[in-house]
Amino acid sequence: MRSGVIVSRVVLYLVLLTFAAICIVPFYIMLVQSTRTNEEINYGPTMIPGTALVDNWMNLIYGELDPVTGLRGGGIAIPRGFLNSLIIAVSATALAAYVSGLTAYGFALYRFRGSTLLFGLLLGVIMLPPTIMLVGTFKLMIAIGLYGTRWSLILPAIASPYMVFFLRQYTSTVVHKSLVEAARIDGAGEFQIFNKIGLPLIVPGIATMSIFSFLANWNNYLVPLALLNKASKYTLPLMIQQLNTTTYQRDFGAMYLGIALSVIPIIIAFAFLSRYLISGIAFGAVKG
Amino acid sequence: MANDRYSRYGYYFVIPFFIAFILFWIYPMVSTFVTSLTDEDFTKMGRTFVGFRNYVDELTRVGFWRSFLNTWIIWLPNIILQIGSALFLAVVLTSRQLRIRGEGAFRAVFFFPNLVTVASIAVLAYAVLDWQSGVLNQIVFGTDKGAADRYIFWLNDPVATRIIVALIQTWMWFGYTMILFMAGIQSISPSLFEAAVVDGAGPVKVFRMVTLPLLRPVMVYVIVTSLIGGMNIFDLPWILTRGRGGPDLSLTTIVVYLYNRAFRFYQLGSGASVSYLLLLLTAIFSAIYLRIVGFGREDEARPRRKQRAARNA
Repeated sequence: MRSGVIVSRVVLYLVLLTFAAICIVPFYIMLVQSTRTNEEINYGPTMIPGTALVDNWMNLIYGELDPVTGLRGGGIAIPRGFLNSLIIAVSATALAAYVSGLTAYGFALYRFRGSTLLFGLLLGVIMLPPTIMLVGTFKLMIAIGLYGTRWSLILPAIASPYMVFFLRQYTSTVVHKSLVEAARIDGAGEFQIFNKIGLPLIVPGIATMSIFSFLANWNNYLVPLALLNKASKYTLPLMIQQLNTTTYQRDFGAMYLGIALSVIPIIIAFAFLSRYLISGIAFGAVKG
Repeated sequence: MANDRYSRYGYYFVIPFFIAFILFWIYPMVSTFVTSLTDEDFTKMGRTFVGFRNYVDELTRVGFWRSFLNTWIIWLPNIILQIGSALFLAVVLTSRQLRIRGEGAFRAVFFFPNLVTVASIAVLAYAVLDWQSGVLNQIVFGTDKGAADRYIFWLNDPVATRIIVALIQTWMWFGYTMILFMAGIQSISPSLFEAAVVDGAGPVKVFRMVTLPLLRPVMVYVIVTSLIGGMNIFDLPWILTRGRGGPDLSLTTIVVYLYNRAFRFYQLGSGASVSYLLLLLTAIFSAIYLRIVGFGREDEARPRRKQRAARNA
């Protein structure tokens, strides 16, 4: 019995390590390949980084070197895409965070006519696939003149139903009515109470949801593809997609580097935030 | 508290949300539906109402059903592999007998692929699967002289492409699903496991008689959300095939089909009808699934009550 347990534990560790390797190795290959020349990449995979990182960077950002003129042409503005994605994801998340906190507080602490109906309406759309809004959003953005702008991707985030749903649960457990009543007796206005007392209390909940909101905006592909038409406004995923649609499709060193540049920030962020993300997901299992 | 003097503040707090909600959620949904009832074409002026003709047209088009089938061929193997591996790993990592060390690290590593932008993963897969310079062929067939003759053109094979996309989806989502299962298992009262062990049940029996039945709500959540997401798959097939929808249209999923209709050929009316058909079909399949597992039926309450009684005991 005892030796059986030991054997099964060893086997299970090997299985777990295999799964872990499957999750890590592709990204390691990406990092190594991004430092190698095309000839080296053709020669076969290795685990040891090469020395062509700078060359790949130059080819990627400024374009291929023309051997005759000595000039570079083309190039994919990955830093530009990075900046665009950052502007959109940060603005959208900040708006979503504040407005969702406000809305969740309103639903959690006030009882008003129609509140159940309004909250039901909000819950009703959570499970709907976003594709049913795609054509309508496209037409709306053209009609109000926001087509092709970053605003078309930022403003819709003001209404983030899942964030409100999550924060309403959160608010009702951390903000007690007695606290609000005490503040009223001290003469504070309702919005002052929210900003000074309510908001600070729900900040942990807002932080968790903000990570998810940021990621959703950062990773979004379909909506920017439909709503952006100028390369100068392209988000990072749209820039990354150009790696295999333009001349880079045969320059694998530059291609791997481009992918690596988009993945490295996520690796860094993950190192700090994985705990919050995992507990946020587990919430869905218990409440969903 | 109902109609006290503060209740009007409730409206003030929720109004900003609902203004945006109506403008950016409700209006586009309604607008998409209205558009689906017209022959609207972005390249032409004006539009006329045609009733449900777009819907009938799509439902009688081979291309629509083929894209629908492609979506299922990708989703089904993915969800089976995903649930199988996630369930196994969740049971192993939460087991009290095994006491696996580094549980948190494994969980984090398994979850990581889920966070990476799909666009990046798609281009990475494109590079790794490349016929001549891809790492996969190099590892499988070696890099000796003559090995290149045996290299497989993965992305040019209609069967292989769909399997590849299904496997990438599994790879991206098994960790996420595992976290949900782990949370579900951890919310089961430990006394139930102890009681089963005292009654002489082995690990397989404990899994079948205790873990699996009590995980049902989580399982339903996983399958329904994965179905909705899976039916809407777009980024991966689109980028992997550089917007072409694959060899022999094998990676033309419903949303790829929709995107082509609405944004490549600018047939907005027709594209809008595809998005509502997708919603309808997803709803039908969710309903069938929920019916099969008997979710929401009266007897659903009974095992829960039993569980609660056991917890109180």
